[in-house]
Amino acid sequence: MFLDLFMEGVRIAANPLSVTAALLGLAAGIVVGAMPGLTATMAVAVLAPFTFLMEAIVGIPFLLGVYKGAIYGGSIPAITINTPGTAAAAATALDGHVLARKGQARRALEMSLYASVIADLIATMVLIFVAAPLAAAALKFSSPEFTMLFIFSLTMIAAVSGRSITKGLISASLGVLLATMGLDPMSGQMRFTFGVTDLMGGVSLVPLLIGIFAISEVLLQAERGVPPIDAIGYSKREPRVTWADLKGSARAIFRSSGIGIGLGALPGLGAEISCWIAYGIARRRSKSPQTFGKGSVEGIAAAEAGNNAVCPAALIPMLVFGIPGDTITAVLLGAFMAQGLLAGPLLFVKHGEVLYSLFALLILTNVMLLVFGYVAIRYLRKITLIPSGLLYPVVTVMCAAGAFAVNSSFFDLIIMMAGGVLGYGMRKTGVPIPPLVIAMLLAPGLENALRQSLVLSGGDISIFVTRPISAGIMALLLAGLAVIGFQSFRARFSSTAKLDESLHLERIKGKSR
Amino acid sequence: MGGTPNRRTSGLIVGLVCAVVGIAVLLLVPVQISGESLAAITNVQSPAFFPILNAVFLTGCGLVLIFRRSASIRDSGDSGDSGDSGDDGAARHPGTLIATVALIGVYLVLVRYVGMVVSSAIAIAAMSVLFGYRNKAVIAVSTVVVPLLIYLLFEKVLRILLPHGAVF
Repeated sequence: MFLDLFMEGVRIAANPLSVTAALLGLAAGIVVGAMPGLTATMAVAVLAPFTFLMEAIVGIPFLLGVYKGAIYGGSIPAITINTPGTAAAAATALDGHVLARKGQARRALEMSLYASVIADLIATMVLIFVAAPLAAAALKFSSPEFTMLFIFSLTMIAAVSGRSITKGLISASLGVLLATMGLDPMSGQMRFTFGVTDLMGGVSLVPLLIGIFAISEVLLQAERGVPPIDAIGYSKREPRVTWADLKGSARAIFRSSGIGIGLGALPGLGAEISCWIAYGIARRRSKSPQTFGKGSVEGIAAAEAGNNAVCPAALIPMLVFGIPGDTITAVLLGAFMAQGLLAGPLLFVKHGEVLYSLFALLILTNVMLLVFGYVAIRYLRKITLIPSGLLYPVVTVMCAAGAFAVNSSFFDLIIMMAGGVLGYGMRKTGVPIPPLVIAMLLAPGLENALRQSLVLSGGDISIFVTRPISAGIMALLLAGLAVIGFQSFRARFSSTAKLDESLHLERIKGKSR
Repeated sequence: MGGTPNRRTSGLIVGLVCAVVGIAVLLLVPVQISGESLAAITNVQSPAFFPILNAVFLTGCGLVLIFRRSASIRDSGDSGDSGDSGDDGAARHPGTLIATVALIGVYLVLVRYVGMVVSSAIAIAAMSVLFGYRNKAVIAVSTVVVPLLIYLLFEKVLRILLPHGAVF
């Protein structure tokens, strides 16, 4: 059954248009990811409208290619100009740029490429073998289980996205508020449309996302001023990665791939967090931890494997439960919905062959990442030197064209601008953006599941604890919150203790004077 | 708008805004969801059930943040909830920010009345200068090439009509 579906998927994926789209997406992703200040989420959000007129089997591979390419591409400016192209490449900059300063940029870039490709391949295999059995199990879920699953995901995303759980929950609540505008999914009645006909179908997701991620970044850059570029010269005689480098980093790559897969499959923990955890653990387990931060190739390998393994892994909760693990998969989920592919366990039953064709294309883009990566190392290093003063105006214009193209509506331009101001305000006040975006996508499902559960039970909320799977998810949620609460308490307690200690020392110094 | 609010004031602002938005949503329920009132919180079949539940939650979170920040400001040694202002202490150019917001606003209006291609060319030129880019030749080339590429991609390749306005 599995093999049949996979072979059918390979047959569909062999369509030249799909392959071309996937490879174009990969190339576009690497280019965008290599531009400092342009994030992977921004790349997927801005390029998503281009795919809406294509067939699903062409448009989705393009976006998956962009996703993979942008995550890898982020390592190029991180290494060459010490400015991560994406947040996920921040840990790569630590050792990568030091190595580049020593005249070994090519060695750093090649190690980053190999680690990315290996981790991505391992994670894609896990996705292929885990997703279908998980979806079969998820078919047994009904509305109470889905209610608890949605609440679990939203709470965990809110809890881990920023430094304040309250602000995370506020962000999720604002997302739910935006999602309730438009038609009520059960009664069809209007809600919060303020007489605006454009709001009858709800707030347009893609223009809002373009505003939140891209326009807000433009506004932040306008306020901060354009940063100077710390560029490294290029020499044709730069050393390359050796077999000894690869052998020495193999354990770090495999360990970090496992970390990336585990964290990517959990809601809320994206590549930005995974790269730091993978880097930290690699440093602790390394035979030469003293070299980390001073140009360690093992450090680069760990950080890059950690962030690239997240990409395929984050697709597991998105495809199986319709729950995006991070902002990029949230945008991808929006693209799936626009293509008529409703993510969830039924997707594997109704569109199994399409899914497996996407998996086949993921493997293909993985192999091609090696080729494109080589070209990028050789020729794309100059892209990182494009001045931000020119880049951001071009991005703004592309955002406007993309936002308009979704529905050919001027109202979407207003939504985009409003999203930009909202995103700017959230970033300035430390309110995390991922919970808002993910809540917007999950809210309709959560509302349906919650109301259906309560109708089933006659308004009795004990339905969520009397069913074993639902009770299990609730127990997981409580355990997760307890751990986060304990860690937050411990962090606050230790900072208060340090403050008391320093005050005490100051008092002693004062007395001695 | 230009400065970075510190942790406590940003928390207070967020808390206040959320409490106000939450209460406003509750007050808007009878007007914006026809025939429904706050009593719908007990009726799961009502279209107002979920929005009311969410508005109550949002107001509650806002009040929690206000309470924590107020307590934190009273007890100046305590940093309160581990919130953050979210932005680092990089250089600030509030004038450029306000001008950028205004420029994008004007650009979006021009898109409708002048057309996407011409207004995009104007926007690229104006924003590049605003962002401190001074290479006139590159700006000139970008103002021609980028809008033209966008036009060709959307209208000729993807067959999506962009706004033409009065000019183009």
